Amino acid sequence: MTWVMLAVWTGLFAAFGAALAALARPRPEETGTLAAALDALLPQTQCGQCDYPGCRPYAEALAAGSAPPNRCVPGGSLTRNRLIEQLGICDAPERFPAPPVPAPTVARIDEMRCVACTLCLDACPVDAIVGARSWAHTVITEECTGCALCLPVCPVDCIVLEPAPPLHAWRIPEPLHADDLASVRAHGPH
Amino acid sequence: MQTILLRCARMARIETARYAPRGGLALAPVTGPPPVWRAAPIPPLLALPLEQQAGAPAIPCVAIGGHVRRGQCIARPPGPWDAAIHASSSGTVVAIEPYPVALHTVAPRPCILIRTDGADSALAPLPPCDPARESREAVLRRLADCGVVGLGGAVFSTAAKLARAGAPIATLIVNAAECEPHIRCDEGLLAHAPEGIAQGIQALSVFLGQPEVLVGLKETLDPRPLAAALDAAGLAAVRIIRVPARYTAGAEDVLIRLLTGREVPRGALPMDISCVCLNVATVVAAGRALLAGEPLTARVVSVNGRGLPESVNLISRLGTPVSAILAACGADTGPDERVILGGPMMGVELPNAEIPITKASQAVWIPGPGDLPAPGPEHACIRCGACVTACPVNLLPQQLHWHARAADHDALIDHGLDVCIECGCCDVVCPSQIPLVARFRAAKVALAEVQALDARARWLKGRFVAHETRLDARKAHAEAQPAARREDPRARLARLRAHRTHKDADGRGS
Repeated sequence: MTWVMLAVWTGLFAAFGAALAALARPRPEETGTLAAALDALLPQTQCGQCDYPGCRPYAEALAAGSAPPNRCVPGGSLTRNRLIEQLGICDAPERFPAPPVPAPTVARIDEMRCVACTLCLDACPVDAIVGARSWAHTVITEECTGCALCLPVCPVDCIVLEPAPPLHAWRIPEPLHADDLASVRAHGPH
Repeated sequence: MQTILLRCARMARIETARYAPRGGLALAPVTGPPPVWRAAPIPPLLALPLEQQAGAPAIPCVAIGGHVRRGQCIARPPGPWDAAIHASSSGTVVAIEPYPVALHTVAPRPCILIRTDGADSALAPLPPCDPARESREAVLRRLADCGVVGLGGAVFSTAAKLARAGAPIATLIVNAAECEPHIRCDEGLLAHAPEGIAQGIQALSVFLGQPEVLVGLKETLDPRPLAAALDAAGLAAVRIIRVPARYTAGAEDVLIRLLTGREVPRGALPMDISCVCLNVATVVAAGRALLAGEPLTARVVSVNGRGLPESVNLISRLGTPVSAILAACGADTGPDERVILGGPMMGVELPNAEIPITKASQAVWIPGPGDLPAPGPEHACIRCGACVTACPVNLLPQQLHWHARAADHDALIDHGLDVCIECGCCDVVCPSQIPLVARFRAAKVALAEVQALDARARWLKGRFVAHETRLDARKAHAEAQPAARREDPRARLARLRAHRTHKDADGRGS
């Protein structure tokens, strides 16, 4: 009798455990929404530094459980933490060290060397390059994500990456340094 | 008999606040004779920053080398109701370049530098703009064109503030609570320019549709000159309500609660509960702009502290360096003296006395040897809750502190980081000497950066989707072409070569 009860209970626990595990796993119809939620957390640079061809494919791989949450290079630890939270991974920070975030950059086209081949126009995932055939191209700095996808397609290597300007103008400025007083000395009353 | 009745009527208008302050600090009051009231001399160089505390930077409308006169507009801001910037004396524009100023922190910001000529010739004032006759837009335009901003330290454009008031306003609150010690500029205005206050109140109440007017007056200040001026102006309905001399009683939301018992909801503005709260100096400036057509070119700066023979309220031209203000007050200060722009709680320590005063500069204070000691070492939070009791805006600073340390942005938003007025009460009461306000300021910047990044990600997503759609449409278009027109590139090249050879042969033949 005892053995029967034990077997019944074990069976019940196993069944509940299996049911909970099945519920906890994202269901096929939910994967789409999970991927969309993860996609919304990514910085949308479409740079491919995660080894996936864009933010959405990486989000889909994350949702399918086939990618670690620390592959987003421009997102850094902020994006990693948000992905971990969305995926519900517990002991994550130790297991997934965040990649170092490189300083943000923007592309610049040397218009004197540009041959106006339009190859970079389609390569830019956010349409940040303007130009047409036989009209020199240029980068809209505000829209450029610095993903570097335009660099390899350029046949004359006239695109370079430069440090990006600060993202938003509202910023509490850094405190004053001694060098900044030069303008006081130049104009101040003495 | 009539005089006694009148006096009774006047006395009846002076009341005491019925609602108790929440949080805040009872700071040691500054005693001594009332401050001296005088004008500062015009300094040789004026520095006027293109940025004000709030809003986008203004665009200069003068050229380097050009001559300007007092009251001449030298920079216009891009916003429709943002306040213009005027030359505060006559002279020559010598440069438009970064110059150290105190906005948020002390740092070089773009400034217009004017070398004064000493003549102080002024432009003719604008014609009066009577709110009873002019349209709402004309009054707001006048306030913006005359550079009227909140002179209580916020420097928010008064025209922009009043333009947001859509519905008729029930209550106009005039802020004369002046709660921070060592700031006595409103005290000077109440004693020496009560007529200006009365005129300003009159003009603004006509503009706002005759609301109830409450003057929140610090209880240690004398209400009689203002009451007399209000009587003379026929403003018998104005109520002067004395508020406790307690720190943060002068914060906008706190004062509204003290005077009316009403609470400004989180994320809302005083307009949303039908209130407009203006500092007493702002009321004077608005009155001058409307009735006398005078732009804002000077403000009262309260100068106090060690090494000064007396407390002075100095009417100073905007852009005057602090060194000139200290010299005008006979300050006996050495080069190593600490100078605070503002009061002991919210002021900024200046690294250099050449920093110019702006519309935000209420006071210059030289702390004595015992004042403002360097903060001791920071200890761990013991969750005593003293900061919660001290917070005048009902926040939980200790929770904010934990969430700021953990960079938990959602929790910071939930706990109302945006509501923090950075008054410093929690810093003062914290037994563990945690620099809470400094943390909150840094957290506000970090939060703003994260929010900007998120907004950019949403924007980029839209562009990426548009890019994909465009490429897909082009591909679909190419595939929809008849197969004959989709020629293999190699075949096309061969065909073109053949065509060319044929043409060349033709050319030779003819």
